[in-house]
Amino acid sequence: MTAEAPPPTPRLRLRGMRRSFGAVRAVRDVDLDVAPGSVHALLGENGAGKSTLMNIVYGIHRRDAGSIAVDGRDLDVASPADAIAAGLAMVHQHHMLVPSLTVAETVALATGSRRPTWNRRAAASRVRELSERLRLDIGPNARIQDLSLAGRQRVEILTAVHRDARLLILDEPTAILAPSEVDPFFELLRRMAADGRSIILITHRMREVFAVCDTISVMRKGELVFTAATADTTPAEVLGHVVTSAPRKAPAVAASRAPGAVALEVDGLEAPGAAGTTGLAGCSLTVRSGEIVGVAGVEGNGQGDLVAILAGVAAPSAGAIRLAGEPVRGRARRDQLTVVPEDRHHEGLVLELSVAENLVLDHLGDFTRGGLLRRRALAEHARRQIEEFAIVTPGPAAPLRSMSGGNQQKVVLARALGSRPAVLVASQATRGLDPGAAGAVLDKIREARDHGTGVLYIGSDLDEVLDVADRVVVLYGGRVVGESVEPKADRARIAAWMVGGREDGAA
Amino acid sequence: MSGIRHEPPAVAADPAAAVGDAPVVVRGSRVATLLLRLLDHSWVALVLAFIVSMPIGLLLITLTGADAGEVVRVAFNATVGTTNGIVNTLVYATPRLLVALGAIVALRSGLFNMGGEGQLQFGGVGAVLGGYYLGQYLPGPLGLIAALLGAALLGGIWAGIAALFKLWRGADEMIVTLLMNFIATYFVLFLLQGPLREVDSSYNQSERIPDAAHLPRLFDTRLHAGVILAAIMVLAVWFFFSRTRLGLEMRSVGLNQTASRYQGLPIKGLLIGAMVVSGAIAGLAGANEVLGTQYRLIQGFSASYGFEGLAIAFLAGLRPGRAAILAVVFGGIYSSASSLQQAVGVSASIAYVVEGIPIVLLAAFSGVQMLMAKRRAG
Repeated sequence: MTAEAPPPTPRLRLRGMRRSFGAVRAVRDVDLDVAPGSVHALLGENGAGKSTLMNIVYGIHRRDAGSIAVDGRDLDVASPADAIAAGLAMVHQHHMLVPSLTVAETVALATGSRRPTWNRRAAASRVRELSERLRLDIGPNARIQDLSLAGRQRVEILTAVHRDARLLILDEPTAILAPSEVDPFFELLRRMAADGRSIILITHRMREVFAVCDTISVMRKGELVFTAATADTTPAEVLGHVVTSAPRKAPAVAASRAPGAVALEVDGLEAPGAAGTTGLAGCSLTVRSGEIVGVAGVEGNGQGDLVAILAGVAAPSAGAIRLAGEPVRGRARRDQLTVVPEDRHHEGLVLELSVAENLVLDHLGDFTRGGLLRRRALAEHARRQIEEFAIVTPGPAAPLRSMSGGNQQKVVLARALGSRPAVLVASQATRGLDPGAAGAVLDKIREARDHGTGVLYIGSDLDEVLDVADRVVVLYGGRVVGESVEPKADRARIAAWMVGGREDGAA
Repeated sequence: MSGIRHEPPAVAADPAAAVGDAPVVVRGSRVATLLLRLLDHSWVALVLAFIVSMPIGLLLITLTGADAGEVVRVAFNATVGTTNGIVNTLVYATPRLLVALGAIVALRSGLFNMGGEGQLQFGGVGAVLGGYYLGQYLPGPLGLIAALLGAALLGGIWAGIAALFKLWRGADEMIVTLLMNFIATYFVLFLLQGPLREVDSSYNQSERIPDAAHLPRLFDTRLHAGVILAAIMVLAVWFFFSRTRLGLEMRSVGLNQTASRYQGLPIKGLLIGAMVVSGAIAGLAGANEVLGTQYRLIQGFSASYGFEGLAIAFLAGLRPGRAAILAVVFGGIYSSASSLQQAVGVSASIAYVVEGIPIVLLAAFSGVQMLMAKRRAG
């Protein structure tokens, strides 16, 4: 917020934006100004309201209240067509292109012309001209389906520029890019800003923000909590606004006894990683019996690969995992190690199956005789687990889909802890749960720790990780870059490590 | 109304009762999921759709110049009105039901097996190989067993090839099985013109299966033991998915492959197994025709049962019991149509039109529901 008077008319001005979905207040009284010719980052955790806010601006959602002005003119968007007419363009995470068309055809289609014919040659030369000016390296005759994801993204941007969009909204644009594609993409954003266009970059990655943006705004729980010029702030300060810092209700309970022998050793794991993540690059850590090791880190720094490899559904390209000193390959026995995967709907549970069935999917052999399910034993086992984990359900045969998220997660946890594993790997175990349910899940994990299980707790909510862990390691760029045995006292150092900074907290 | 996924939990309070009729959502193929969303309806809607379809079908037939009263009388006699009608209805229902059961096994495991027709064709070949070439050396009912096993084996292998392509190269099983139907049909034609052709015959047909390998007739009518075989398979498929470990694992893979992998289920084996079993059951449909009605393999012996079986599977919401009832309804429609062809001169193809009407009605009904839900949400 520099005090240069008079400030130019903002490219986009939002005042009092509000939108609720049922009882959820997704966007609460947001005011936002985006300057012409600037790259403006909109940061926040999943569910902070970033995408909802931008979908309102683009006319995909209706707003409950608030005003939108573009270049000083009030705008009443009812549909994306209105937004496009006002010079807005939005590039979604999932591309909205027709795979069988060529680039020239795509661009011609996007002009929205109602004329019955189109000029192939004119469209092609326009594509060539724009591609050259923005250095996009895209030919007019390439087919969309032959382009990489990064290439398709450039086509969307080219289309937006062709329509002369003055404000581009990019939703997590780097999520689909390989690390080597990120820097050229940022240069493209800078060129477009130099061209006088404004860009809103929705992201949750700190690095990008400081590499490319002029201004940073942070949303949390639907509110805009922070806005500053990039030059006037630090990664640590921004991260402090992104992560929730509300004090937890449940007081942390430290381990009742000293940790025991080493239960899990992760030694130099490497994995290529999906687009938009760093993969693993020599990740090493240990977990002892009876301790909770928290893994802090910004999402996409190798957490997903670490969990997938430990779960036995992915293989590392190098490195080893040892359980109680014994190397394991593939899937570990369920009394050795179990996993609470990050996404309970896709990885953890089969929602259409019953509670009883989900509870035993990983050890059906114990409930089978001669190929037949022992249904009484199955129901009995379910009843015991339902009671022990206080799962609220109509009964063992109720399908998971009919239950609340918290109770679904308790089913995952009950299955993972039911075998009294030596090691529990829990990833984002409280995501999407209300505080009560989250507290219950964390209590169960602490209880397992007190019974001697070594826990690796991976979370994106820094304060929660600090709260639950006896020891914290920080994952950055696919490696452990720091470790703290006094997590709560070390919050600033840990936050600095999370954004790739050094010990002193300055990034 | 929108399927069994939202059945109230109260119904499921008794574990024993609920496991058998577990919800069915196929994730393996988006097309299959969409078709289920379109066609899987409550009993009431299903019955209504067929009731509404009957007068529409009648109207269509009278438009071809037939007398409505005569049409109703013939259709009545061809279905529930006479013993002969009942027999014919069941005989026509049997292969359709077996193919539907095969489709259900694959779809519940998340695989869209559109190759019922081809697997049925190969099942017919297997029945001849087991029943004639092997059966003539086997004593008593062993010939029949060899014929049935041969049919299941060839049908299963033919389907299993598609599963291997899927796992090996990621080829979409829906396309592969669909196109393999043509290979199967023409390959069987080649066999009937060459290696398997009856010696000194002027027809494209195989040797006659010895009597011992026939599916025995029931009550001295055209009805044969194939209908019992199909009924047993209905129970077997139901039992398999509700009571066995393998059945639960296949359902789990069909519903959510990622979660199944995280739970350590042997995904590849399950997918191959499901496809092989699916093809084997469709193969039995071929055996049913060869061993129960024709007693030999004849060019064009299948009247596109493969696709009718698929329609039955979807209309039944992948439930074996419902499939049995729907197969009988389809059998009745076909029986009526073929009687009408003889008595009134209407083309028997009208059967497919009449079968199509309830499908279109149900799909349109679902479509309207979806649109209205979308409008409310927007």
